[in-house]
Amino acid sequence: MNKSACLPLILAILLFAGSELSQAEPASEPSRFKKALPGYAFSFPRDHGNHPDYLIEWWYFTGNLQSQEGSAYGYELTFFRRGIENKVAEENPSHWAVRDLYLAHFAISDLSNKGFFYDEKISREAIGKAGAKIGKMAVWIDRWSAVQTGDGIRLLADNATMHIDLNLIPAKPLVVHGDQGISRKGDEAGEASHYYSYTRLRTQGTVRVKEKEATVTGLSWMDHEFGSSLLGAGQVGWDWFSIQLDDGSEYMFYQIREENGSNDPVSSATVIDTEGKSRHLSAQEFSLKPTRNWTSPHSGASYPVAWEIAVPSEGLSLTSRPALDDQELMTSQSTRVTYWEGATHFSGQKKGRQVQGKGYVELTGYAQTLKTQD
Amino acid sequence: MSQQILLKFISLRHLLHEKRTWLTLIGVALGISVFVSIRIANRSVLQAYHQSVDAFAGETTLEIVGRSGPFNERLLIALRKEAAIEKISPLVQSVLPIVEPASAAEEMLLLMGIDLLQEQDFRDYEIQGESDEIEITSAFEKLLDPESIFLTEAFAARHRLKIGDALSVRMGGDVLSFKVAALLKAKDIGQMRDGNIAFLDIATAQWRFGKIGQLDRIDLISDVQLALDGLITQLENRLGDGVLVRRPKQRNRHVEKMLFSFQMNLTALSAISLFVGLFLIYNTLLVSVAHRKKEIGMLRALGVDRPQIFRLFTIEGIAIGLFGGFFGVLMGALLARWVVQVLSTTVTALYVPIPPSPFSLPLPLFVEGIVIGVLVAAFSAIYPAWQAARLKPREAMEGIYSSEETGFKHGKLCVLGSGAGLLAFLLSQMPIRWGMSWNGYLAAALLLAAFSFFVPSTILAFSRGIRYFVRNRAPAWRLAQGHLEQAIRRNAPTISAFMGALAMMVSVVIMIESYRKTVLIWIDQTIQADVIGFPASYMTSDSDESMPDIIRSEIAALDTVEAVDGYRSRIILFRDAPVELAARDLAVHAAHSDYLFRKGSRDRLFQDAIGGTTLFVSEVLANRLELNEGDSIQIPTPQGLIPFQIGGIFYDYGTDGGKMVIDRSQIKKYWQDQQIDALLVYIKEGVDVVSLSQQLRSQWGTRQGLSFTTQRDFKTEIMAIFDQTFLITYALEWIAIVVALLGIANTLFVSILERQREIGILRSIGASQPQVIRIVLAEAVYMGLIGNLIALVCGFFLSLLLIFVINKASFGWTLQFHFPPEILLHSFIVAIGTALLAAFLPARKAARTDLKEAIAYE
Repeated sequence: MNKSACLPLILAILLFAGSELSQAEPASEPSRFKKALPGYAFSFPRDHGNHPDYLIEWWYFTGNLQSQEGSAYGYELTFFRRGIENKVAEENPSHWAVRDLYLAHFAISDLSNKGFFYDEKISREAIGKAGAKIGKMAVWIDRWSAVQTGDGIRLLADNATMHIDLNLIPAKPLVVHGDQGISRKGDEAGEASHYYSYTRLRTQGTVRVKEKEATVTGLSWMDHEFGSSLLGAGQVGWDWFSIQLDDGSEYMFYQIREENGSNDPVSSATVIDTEGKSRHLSAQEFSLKPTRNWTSPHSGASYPVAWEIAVPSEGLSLTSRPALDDQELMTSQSTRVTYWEGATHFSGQKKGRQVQGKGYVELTGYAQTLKTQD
Repeated sequence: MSQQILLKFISLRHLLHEKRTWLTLIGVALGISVFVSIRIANRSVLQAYHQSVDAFAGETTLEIVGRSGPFNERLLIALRKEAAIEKISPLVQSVLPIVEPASAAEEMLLLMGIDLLQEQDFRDYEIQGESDEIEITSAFEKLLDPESIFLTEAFAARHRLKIGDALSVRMGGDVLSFKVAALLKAKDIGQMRDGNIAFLDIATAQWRFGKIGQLDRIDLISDVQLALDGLITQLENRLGDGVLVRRPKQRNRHVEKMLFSFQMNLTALSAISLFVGLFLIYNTLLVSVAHRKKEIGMLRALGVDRPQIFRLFTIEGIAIGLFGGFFGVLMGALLARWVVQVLSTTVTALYVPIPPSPFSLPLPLFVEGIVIGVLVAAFSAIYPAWQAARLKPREAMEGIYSSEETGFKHGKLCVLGSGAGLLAFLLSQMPIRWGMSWNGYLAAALLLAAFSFFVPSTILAFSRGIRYFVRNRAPAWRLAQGHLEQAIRRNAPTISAFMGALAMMVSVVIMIESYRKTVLIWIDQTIQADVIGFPASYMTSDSDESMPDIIRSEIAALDTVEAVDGYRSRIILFRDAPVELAARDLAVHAAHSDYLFRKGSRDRLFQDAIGGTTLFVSEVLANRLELNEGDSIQIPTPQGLIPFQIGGIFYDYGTDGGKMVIDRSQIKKYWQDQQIDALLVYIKEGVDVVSLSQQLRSQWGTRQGLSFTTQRDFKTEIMAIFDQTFLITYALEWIAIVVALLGIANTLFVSILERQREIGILRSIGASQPQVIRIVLAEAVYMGLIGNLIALVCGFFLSLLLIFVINKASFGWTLQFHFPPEILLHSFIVAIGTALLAAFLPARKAARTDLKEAIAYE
């Protein structure tokens, strides 16, 4: 096994094989994991914390930042947890017995210098090496962490070339996506997650890339999602957008692509107005059209990095432009499990007025070997 | 006359056409081959050893180990706070005997419990036949399964295992079963221990090995920018004195030091043959000078000057060295194949498991062998060449019989000899420190030189001494005696070489016998148990298998059993070096067995140690660390450093790493350790040992995987291991003797050649062929006797050096000197036998000398 070959693979399993896993289990032995079903009542700060009863969970932070000197940065820091089901392991009193695996991705887009850096981690809990607390947000692997602090969240991550230390303060209340507390990913019951976001987090702190450290301010976005089965059969990947417009509104879109090239009807969107009120949009209420593809010199995968986005009911039409083409995370050539996650600029019209915005786009399932459904 | 012409017509002719040149060449080649083969083997073994250290260390920059054994895993929490540390990989491991598959039964398997998630940065794990990444993932996921194990390709192939097959190991009567989840390619760590290595998840390892909450080691990768020394101090301050932080290369520093001593001793032994070879060339050239006096005279008369003559003979010597070196290296390479094997086995048995060493003949060693040949040759050619050069033309022209042996300076040589001897004595009196004994080796070399200087005088004294005895003997004895004296200059180096080889053999035999005798006495006094029981894997290797204390109580409860002593051995790090800490039921041991204490009252010492914090330290350890009776030392335990007082210092020859002995109550108290490695069973009077051991075997043997052996068999087994370790030593000795044998043959050959006329006259006045043969053989017997006589004296002194200086410094053992009387007979047989053997062909040649030709000679 090559070094670090595991992580993207585990990630692939984490993201795509939820359904496969539940299918593999014998019917006689019920899974210890709950399904994300309608009627879930969110409660905070409890739901900021860990949900070990669910197979999969992630805390996801992205943001666009500027330094006082005018340098622009994008960042991504994501923590994943995946439960492991093994009856014998559950009897093992060792602190090393794996009940959950923790994974993290950390990327910085040094937009002014057209640099993109990323790193990853994978760990078992191992006496505090990694973990997530119950009842409040505190998730970490080694020195990478996202921890609730008073009224905000502190993000810390570093490696030899980069470092972030950011404080995130919500400028708006959190938003629960989907219908009845669930965000559907497939047709079957339970093929869903519980999903909420902080869509506008005022951010300040420091970013270091190589030798250059900068004091930065900007806006971040947080997603927290937990469930036991995220993608249904026949689904190959997704496109996801978070948009923070300069008029104070935000939009979240996601579409799930199927093997036959069509989009799954469970794709959906959320609109958050300047007051923080949100509205759920179904697949029919918006359109996402790719306008330009970028082919990665690293993986050879072709990503639709520029899009036309339209929400007729909002009078919104936007075009997206990546802040940098090459924002592909590819952890190992041998695995080719690779995705594009990048700072993106938006511009267009909303109800006849010019609008600008920044955000993040995530494009998965474009590299050839994401065929975990085989 | 140009040097080329001289070389071409004079030297080459001699070198190619004379049989003795070939004999010399073979001798030199043999001498060098021995030296080279030991060098190759030492190098291969060291290389294999270092490769294994590297493969196990991987990218690790620092490692943490517990001073008292496995340590608390919570140490990791403090470690994670250290910013300078980038990666951390904890390990739990055990070496256990295999139960299933049956074809591997009782083979030892190193099971490493790892956190594969952290391991990736440290060591390469390449899984066989799985290019598809999904399968790798599934293999990884399988390793999290508590029954999964990764094996190596080599092991699986050897025992026809495939994925999904069962593998089980035994641990203290329990059988741990696993399923093969994946096979590691035979690369890096996957080829260590000949493939007898397996990986399982750390959680499984902790659980199955009974080490919940404990780690055996933590590997670290630290910030490359930081100096490790500073970091080590910083970490030790943070982590406390329960653990040791070190570079992976330091892990076996202690082992390396002993390995070095061991290999140095071998190299020194192999140098004997080289030394004998040196005399051989010296002798050949000296003879050549004497034989070619007339030729030298003619050359000088023709205008060849002295430097040219000097060069001529030096180059002849170097040519012998060059070819001898070349063939020596080739022969050495052949010999090395065998030596590497034996050495690997010995090193594995004595010091550290090493993988089978790949044989190779690296260019540097090839060149080194030839260079050594040339240097030795050049060195030994100096005196003969000088002898040749200083001949006056007229003197030389007078031929071979002129000025023979005139003005031989015995007195001067004796003074030199005495000086060398005195120097050797002074060197041997230097204080002994653990490590390489430079003074010991130097003293040994001086001693050999000293006795060589006395050879000519001894020949003279011998010859004069036997004159009386041979007066009335057959003429062969008298003629031979006369010639012996006449040809001192030529015979002296031959006898020196022979003496040197024989002396070394004598000294090594005395050393080994002393060692053997000492070990025998030690075993007799300390192993008095009637039956000894231990896990089947106990004698063979670094097994971690042990047995629960309950077995001891069960056996102790038998009617036929008087008492049972439970023996438990752990490795602790004392002053940063591994030391065996043995715990036993000292009350039982005191009542039935013994330790050989250096000083103090035995009963009193045992009394203090039973149930208390007084311990015994082995003499080897005490010497090495300069510990004394009454000292208070800090012993690392899981409860922290505990002060113990050194009660007695005892002689021990079982481990060369040093040993401490405490009462077993202490290991129960501080380590919470109830396990036992060996049982020493004392039977009641009148009970039959054999039937009891059979009973034990049938009752606990198969069920618990225990072996029971009687005291006698146990001792035999220990001595078998002992003898195995000296196998190479014996072989080296014999080769040196063979080289010396060639030397004697060579000298006698020349001696015949020179005496053709004399022999011719003898024959013409009626001496029969057998009579001539007898003359030559008689001279050989004289030479053998003289060589043997000096060798015995020299060997005796050499053995004192070996035992009390070199071995003591290298290994720390105090051996009791034991002179095996049979060595007198053996060396006599070897000396006379060798001499006769070497003389037989020359003797026959002399006897067949054609009368006319012989008289016409010159």
